[in-house]
Amino acid sequence: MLKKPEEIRTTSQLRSSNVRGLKSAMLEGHPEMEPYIDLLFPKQHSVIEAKLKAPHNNLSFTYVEKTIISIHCEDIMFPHLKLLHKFPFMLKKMQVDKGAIRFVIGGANVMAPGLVSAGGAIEEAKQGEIVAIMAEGKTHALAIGRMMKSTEEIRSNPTGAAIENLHYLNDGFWKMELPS
Amino acid sequence: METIYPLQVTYCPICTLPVEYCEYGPDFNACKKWIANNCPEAYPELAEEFEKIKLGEEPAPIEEAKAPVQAPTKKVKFEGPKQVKIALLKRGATKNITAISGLKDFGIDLKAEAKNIRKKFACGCSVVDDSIELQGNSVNQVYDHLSEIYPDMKLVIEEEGGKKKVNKGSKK
Ligand SMILES: [Zn+2]
Repeated sequence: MLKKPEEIRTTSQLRSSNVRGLKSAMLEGHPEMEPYIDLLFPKQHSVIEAKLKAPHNNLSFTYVEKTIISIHCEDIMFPHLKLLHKFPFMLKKMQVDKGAIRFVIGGANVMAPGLVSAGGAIEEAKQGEIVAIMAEGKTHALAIGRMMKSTEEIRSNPTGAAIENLHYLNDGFWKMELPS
Repeated sequence: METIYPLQVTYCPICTLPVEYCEYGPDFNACKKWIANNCPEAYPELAEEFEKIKLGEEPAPIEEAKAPVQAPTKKVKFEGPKQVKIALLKRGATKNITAISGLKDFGIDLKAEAKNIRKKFACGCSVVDDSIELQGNSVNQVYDHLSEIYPDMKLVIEEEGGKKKVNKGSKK
């Protein structure tokens, strides 16, 4: 989605009602996150929303201090990878085999064969769901994606692209420099 | 043992990735030195090599076709020592700036040249660091102008990474 860091167009402080909305969106479907959610938004720091310049004006993200919290693209929202690394239970996990890692880190979508092979592993998820992309033999997520098909469909017909790659290690959001 | 959240992830200070992903990073060899000294357990299969690195040996060059990938990018960057680059930069969605860099290598007084250009093209023009910037898109005029007064000068017009003009409101 964002290959390299792009310039920020505007930054603005998020209203407290919007912060509440953001919190509840992050908790949706992941109640395990509940005890930690306030850690992400310490009271003494404000939440800043940053919008990117054209042609990426459909993208925005929020950050607190020096940490990016969430990334927004039109109607979808997902956590930044560093945040997911801290709380790996935030998203369902889809594991690709070793051979796929290189491609996913390059920004490619996850292909179904890499998920159903011996090194892959998938759990139940619906089409459109945001998931963590894990890798065979690794502990931490390497990307965040959106299911292009349901898990069931992937299992029954393991061909073609299965998960849209939204955010991956070393992409623009990973390297994004925040204004001080 | 119970896991405590938030998890502490070791990020490599060289390539910024979690250490376990260094091998997929832009330059694994550069990371190896740090890994050898700080967390060799991340790559048990490389234990032998890490011992050697600790003794001062350079990391073994990594396999396969990495070299040919890097060669062309180098060529595009800084090949010719003396050349003047004319580039079109974007300011906002609709405004352009023409930047001329490299004039200094030819011993040209940037301020005086900026003044010339200001007069000739009747546009805002100023010296920014080591380059001259004109307001508006005057790439072709600048090219003609410079090749006229400095016939020996090597001029390059730099396209901005295949980006198209303006692109108002386009997605992704
Ligand atoms: Zn590294």
